[in-house]
Amino acid sequence: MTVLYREPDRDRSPVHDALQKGLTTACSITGGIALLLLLGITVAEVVARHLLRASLLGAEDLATMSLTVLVAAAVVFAAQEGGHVSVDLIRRLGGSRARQAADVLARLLGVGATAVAAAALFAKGGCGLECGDVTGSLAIVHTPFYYALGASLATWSLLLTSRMIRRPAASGADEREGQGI
Amino acid sequence: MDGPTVALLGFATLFVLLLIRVPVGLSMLIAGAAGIALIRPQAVLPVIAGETFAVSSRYALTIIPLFMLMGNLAVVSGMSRELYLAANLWLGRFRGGLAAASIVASAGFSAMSGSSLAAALTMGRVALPEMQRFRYDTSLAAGAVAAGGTLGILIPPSAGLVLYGILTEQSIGRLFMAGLIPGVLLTLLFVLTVFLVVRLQPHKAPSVGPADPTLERRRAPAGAYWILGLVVVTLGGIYAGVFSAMEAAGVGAFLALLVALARRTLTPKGFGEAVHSTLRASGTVFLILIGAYVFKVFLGFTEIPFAAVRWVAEQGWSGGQVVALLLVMFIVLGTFMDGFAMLVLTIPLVQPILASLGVDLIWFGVMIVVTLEMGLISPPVGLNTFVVKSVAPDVPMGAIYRGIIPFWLAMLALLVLIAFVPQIATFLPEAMYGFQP
Repeated sequence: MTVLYREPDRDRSPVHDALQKGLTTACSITGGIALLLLLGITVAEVVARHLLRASLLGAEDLATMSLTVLVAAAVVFAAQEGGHVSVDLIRRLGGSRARQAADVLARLLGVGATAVAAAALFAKGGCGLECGDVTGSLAIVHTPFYYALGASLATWSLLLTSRMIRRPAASGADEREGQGI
Repeated sequence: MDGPTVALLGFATLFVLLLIRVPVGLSMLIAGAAGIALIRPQAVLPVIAGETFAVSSRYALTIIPLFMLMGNLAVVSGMSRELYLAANLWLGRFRGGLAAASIVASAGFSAMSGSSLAAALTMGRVALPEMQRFRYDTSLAAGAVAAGGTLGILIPPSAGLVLYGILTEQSIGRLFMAGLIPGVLLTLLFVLTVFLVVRLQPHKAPSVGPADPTLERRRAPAGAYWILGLVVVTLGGIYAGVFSAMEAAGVGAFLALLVALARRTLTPKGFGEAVHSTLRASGTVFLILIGAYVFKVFLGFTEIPFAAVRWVAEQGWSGGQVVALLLVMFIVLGTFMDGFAMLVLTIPLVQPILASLGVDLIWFGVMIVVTLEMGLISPPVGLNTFVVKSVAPDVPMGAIYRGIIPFWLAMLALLVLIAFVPQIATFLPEAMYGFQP
């Protein structure tokens, strides 16, 4: 079982290290702003309804779009910190070679799946207003939010590719530092 | 290939992917997408994009990051520590009181945070050193912390109940109310278990707890009252119909922030940590949900849920028999599988069967969450046992496993109780929302 709270990856290459740190910072700032926005909108809606006796128009639209940005940032943030849950049976059942082979395969599949999902999000998001992909009250076009999710998964794909190039199979250090696949 | 065969192939692929340590969410996304490609290739990309966006923009799911933020703010501002100290002040004078206090504090913390992991981690850091200082038996101390932590996914706001509610399209407010009495009951059962263990084996705990409380201890109830106040406002607000479960999460997080600021216990660093923990945990849960929804669409394409309903009908099994079988299956699965993964993998298949047999899905949801709790402390992959180990590396895993046995049995007792007296789970939601046919 992957433990959810771990230290971020520390690479020995200074350039890679700086990129990783920059990405973590960008994700935490973006996600943090989206989280506070979501909090503010939710509280404002309750206050408006009970104190002002008027519902805020489009509060749900703003809340859901904030959530989308939060998810986009959080998925990469969790990937950076080894937060995504995996079932660790092979370490118990198989030897080190089996584990290394499984890691290579898992990372390859991870790169492929995240890249395909990113491509799907960019393709569908591009349609936007023409396809009627807008929110219910404020008619906010979904396109940038599809792109945010697409960019998140594309970034994860690149992260996995970078890890594969550096270390095809997860080493003991990887596991200590929070990198599964 | 016919639908059910493709579905079985999909499940087999999924288990292989899980076996090679592909994250649970990605495993379901890959297996689901591959299965859809076999049945309707042109639907693969639209389903992936559509489900990813739909999950990420679902209003009901705003509850997850907001309640997580509320719990994390309680941790970084020291409220959870004060909760333990207060429980300690009240219960510490009894034999085994420190262990009982860790359970009561876990229950209190669970009412602010939906995460069992956070509850075990927080209480582990505070309570384990204290119990070690007073020479408590390591197995009792570790067992109490690991088991107490599991209350996080039963006592509302519970991430387990939210996930179940989203997957089965049941009211989250109703599920929260259904989890309340069983959560309190399980807390009492755990406390009774501690007192029973120390009565039968007095060497496991000293006869008295800490005497002459320090100033910090004497002031601790103040922090506990703040937490109690926040819990009353959020859960009471839902119960009184003042706000929805989603709004309660926002109000709770906002009040936790205000309380922490007013008490000057929140530093910029602590606030950053709370946001980071919230993002990390949200990313984990949302990836699982995205994968689960893609996989659910795949299962729908195969028509396996209908085939399963037909098959169960042909066997002539009653709802009770099916529920009993499923609970046994969940307890066994819980010994080697992550609880959330187990939930998202099985619910899409199980729900149509239960619905066709007229099983109350709110009642079933509470029982499923209790089995998830059992999984959290069941060897070999019980997550809370590893959390306790990470907090107290000198405690052998064997001692932790020995310590959790009495608490695991207490959970089993609760499961049996709820099975035979469903009102334990259904009374509050029916009193509040009315009977659900």
